[in-house]
Amino acid sequence: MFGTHTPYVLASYAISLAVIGALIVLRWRGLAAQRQREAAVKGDGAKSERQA
Amino acid sequence: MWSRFSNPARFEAMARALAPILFAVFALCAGFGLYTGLLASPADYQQGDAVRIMYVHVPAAWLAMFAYSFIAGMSLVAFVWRHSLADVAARAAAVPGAAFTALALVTGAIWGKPTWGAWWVWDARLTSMLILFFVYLGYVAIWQAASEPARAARFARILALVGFINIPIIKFSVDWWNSLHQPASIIRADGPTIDAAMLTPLFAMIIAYSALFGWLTLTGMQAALIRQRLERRAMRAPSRPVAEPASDAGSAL
Repeated sequence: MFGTHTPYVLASYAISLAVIGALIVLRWRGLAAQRQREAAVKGDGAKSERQA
Repeated sequence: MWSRFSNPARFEAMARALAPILFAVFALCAGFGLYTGLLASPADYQQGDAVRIMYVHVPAAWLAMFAYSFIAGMSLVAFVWRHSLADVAARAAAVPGAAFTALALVTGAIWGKPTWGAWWVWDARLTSMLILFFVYLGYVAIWQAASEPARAARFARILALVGFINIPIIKFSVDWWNSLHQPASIIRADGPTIDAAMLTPLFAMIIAYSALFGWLTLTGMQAALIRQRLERRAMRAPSRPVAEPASDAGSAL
């Protein structure tokens, strides 16, 4: 595909895409986890108020 | 301008609107840049196809320096104006900055082998980039290690500001010392020395990486603000435990 440079070119793109993909997934999951946690706390608060 | 976003609620509303736009810009520019960089742009007359590594190496190196400048700027804002979000922004940019620095080092080594015949040389540009990577690690470690957030913030700001001296050293290292690394070829007084057929995918990838950095920082800040809000809430009502998330993935990010 790129002659003798094929492994170098493909390795650099594969590593870059893997790191970028990992960053996106971890940030996405981190934010989703915090939102889920906040929703659970708000749900608990509303439940306690109703019971009171 | 500064005070407008010191209100976390206003900032979060802005971040919720801006984040999808940044991600869309990243996806579009990265798609275009990858296609043109890998398939449509010409090979270099000297380096051959190894020049295609430039389209992932240069944006990563640019982001490594930009992210650190952003962290140093936010640290200065936190020191001088005590802006409530400055430390949050600086901390959110640290892990992406470290990742882009690592990418610049690794893709640079991969590019160095076919071009220079060596994976690594103790050249001024490469060595100063490696120092930048260690400074990033130190910055992240300070935030992770300190038990008091205020104390961690003070040490992290000092490290960020002191470490900023490395940024002009990285930029001008190719002019100040003899180097295997090529001199500046894009930002020059007499214009870029790269052909337009190569500049187009390069700029597309620089825009893509920059938009991604913006998205990563905004997302990290949003997660940090929610965490702070929950911690404050837990302190007000200590008898009610805060539910832990099923997965704590990305909390260190």
